[in-house]
Amino acid sequence: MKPISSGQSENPVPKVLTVIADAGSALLASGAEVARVEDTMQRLAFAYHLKSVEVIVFPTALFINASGMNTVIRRIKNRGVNLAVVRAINQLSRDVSQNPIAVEELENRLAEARRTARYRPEANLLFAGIGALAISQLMGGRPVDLLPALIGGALTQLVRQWLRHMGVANGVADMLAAAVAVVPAVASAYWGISYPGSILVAGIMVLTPGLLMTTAVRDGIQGDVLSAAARILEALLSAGAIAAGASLTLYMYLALGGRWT
Amino acid sequence: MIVRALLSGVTAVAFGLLYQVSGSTLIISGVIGTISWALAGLIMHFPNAGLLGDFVGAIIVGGMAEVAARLKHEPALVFVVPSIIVFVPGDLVYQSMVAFLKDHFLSGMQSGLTALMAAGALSIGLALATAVLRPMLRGRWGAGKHRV
Repeated sequence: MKPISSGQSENPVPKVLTVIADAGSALLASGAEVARVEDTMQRLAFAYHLKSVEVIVFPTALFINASGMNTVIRRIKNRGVNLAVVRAINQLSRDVSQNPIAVEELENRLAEARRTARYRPEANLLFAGIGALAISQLMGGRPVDLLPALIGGALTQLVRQWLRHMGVANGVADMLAAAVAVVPAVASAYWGISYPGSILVAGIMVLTPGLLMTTAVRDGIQGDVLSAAARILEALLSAGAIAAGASLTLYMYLALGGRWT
Repeated sequence: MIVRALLSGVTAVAFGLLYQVSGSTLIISGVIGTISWALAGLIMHFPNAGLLGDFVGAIIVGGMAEVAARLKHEPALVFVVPSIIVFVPGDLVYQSMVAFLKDHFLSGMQSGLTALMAAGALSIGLALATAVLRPMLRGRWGAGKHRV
């Protein structure tokens, strides 16, 4: 008698599906919007002639199923910003849909794309510093603010990178990094630089959840309202954590009788 | 004015680098950052402009990014994210924070709510630009040849 349920062994997950799921999760973890992830996965599945493919993507998980195969699920735990990965995988899916390559080669090129064009961590400190420097001048800073802002941006990025590397949760990492970001501003206020506000703002702007806000909007227009709501919430929590961290340092400084004009 | 616009471009490039963008994309982000800030800065000088500058700036960023994405065959996100950073109301959040710490509850509330509304203006501007331009551009160049 034939069993009703055929079980897993007769219905293995082909490699194509897992590779496509990996591509999707790499995109999502690098900060791509939901519509792009779904589109890319569909395009890859179409290139490998999978039938009746269904893809569901949330900011924290994705599911892909094709007819006659088991569903593949990926959980996305660590989300960051790496637009180089988004670009590389986007390019890869375009190439593959025009002239298909073997699944093994796709896997190799995907692994390559995930490591793509990352600048060295020390270089990131410099970029954060320059960004903070430019912002301090935009916020009405004077030449005297340049150096503290540069230090503030670099220091903030250093603390955030280090905490992320240690595996600290994003919200907590943002809060602690913001608490440190304020230190150069407080120091300049202590040594008599008036209106240290632009230095403070420059430091915490490095932590701004600009990507979350942008993707939330783009998800919302596409009708992916669940992702949009989740990302707005994440952006608000992140902004709250940054404000709390910065306030903490500033409060202690003021409570100790520091000067702040 | 021109110096500030250029500073805005520098900010966009620096944040682009921080988000691992490279090559000509980076330069385009810088140009988008410069132009959008310059036009938004002009609008800020209107009487009773309020948050109109942020709103128009976001529309320009969204629109230019959408066009650049079509021309360069790259995700629009790559252009939007670095260029929008300068419009984020960090200054207002800071003022609100300091006011709360100094027990000035009402002015803290005022700055905080204004910051929230500025974020809303940015979101609506971006959304409007994308929602209007994307179908138009898709129709013009190659009629959705990349769709499944």
